[in-house]
Amino acid sequence: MGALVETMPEAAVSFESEVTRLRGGDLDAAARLMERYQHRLYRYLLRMVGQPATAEDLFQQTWLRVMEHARRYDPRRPFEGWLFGVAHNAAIDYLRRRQPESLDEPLPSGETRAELAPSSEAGILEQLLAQERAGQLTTAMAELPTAFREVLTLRFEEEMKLEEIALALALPLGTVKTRLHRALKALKRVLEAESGTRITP
Amino acid sequence: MNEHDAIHELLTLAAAGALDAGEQGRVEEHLRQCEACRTEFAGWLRLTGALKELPTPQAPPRLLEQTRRAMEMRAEAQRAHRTNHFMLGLMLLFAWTATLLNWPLLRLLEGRLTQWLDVSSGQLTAMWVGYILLAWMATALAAGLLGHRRQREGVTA
Repeated sequence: MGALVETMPEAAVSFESEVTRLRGGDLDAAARLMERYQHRLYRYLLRMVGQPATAEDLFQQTWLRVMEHARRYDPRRPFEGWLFGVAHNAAIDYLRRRQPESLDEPLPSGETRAELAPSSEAGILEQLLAQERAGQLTTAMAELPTAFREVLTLRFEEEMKLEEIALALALPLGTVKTRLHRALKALKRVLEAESGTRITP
Repeated sequence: MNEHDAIHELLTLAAAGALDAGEQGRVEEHLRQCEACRTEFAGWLRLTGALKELPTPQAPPRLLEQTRRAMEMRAEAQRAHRTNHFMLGLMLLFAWTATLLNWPLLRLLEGRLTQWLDVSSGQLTAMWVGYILLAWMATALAAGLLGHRRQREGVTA
């Protein structure tokens, strides 16, 4: 524990130095940051667009934009918020091209069973049940409008604070709260509708 | 809207940890007295808990390498673009300098040139202006064609 505490400031310094080098256009620093955020950024993009191949394209576009606009990043702001903001813009640009009429159309789920990796600590039956529950939840999330999926994944999967979400999405804090409230209610409605048709009493 | 209804509307955000301290206190106070809201709140907590526990889809291992290559290619293209801009600026500076230096040179050699070409001073000036305009137009045309070709190469690459 002590060792962990001792290494944390070093990690923070190293992270800040990577971000500083990224602002200078250092590709190695960008690669290390990319490695650090790869799974989280990919998950966010997958939740946004639903299709793994599209999420991969957007992942690339996000990092190209990060390199292009690195000098514009204000180091006083949290890097994560800025990074997810860039990813948000890339995803929204894609969705606008694909769905010029509305961004709130439900999207099909892009999840596969293989992506829903079970916990290694759980028993096999519990793993299957957890997989089933997670599968139902991701399917239900995929049926929500994009704006709702986005705020849910940023709050609960990325565990971002509401202020950070507001910064990343360039929205007022009140709008984020309202969106989160509506998203949870909509998710509950979808889950109830699905369990009503799928689960036999 | 009475207190019960107002708190009921806050339960989602309370479960999401999205209320300020004052609102959270109000919700907790109400939950101690209201069985229905406690049950509802427990349901929201289960849902938000399940969202936090969702497995993280793993990015394909090749994605990092592909993205790194794309970034390198983009950086290389930007470097080439910057070099081209610098060279273009340098050539433009040279062209302007040569043009401006031409005028005193023309004045200096005006006597000999008018005699050699058998033209008046006014005609020599008109010929010089024509020559400069022609040179600039030819350069602009060449630069335009070169830029267009590079653009097409960039699109098809």
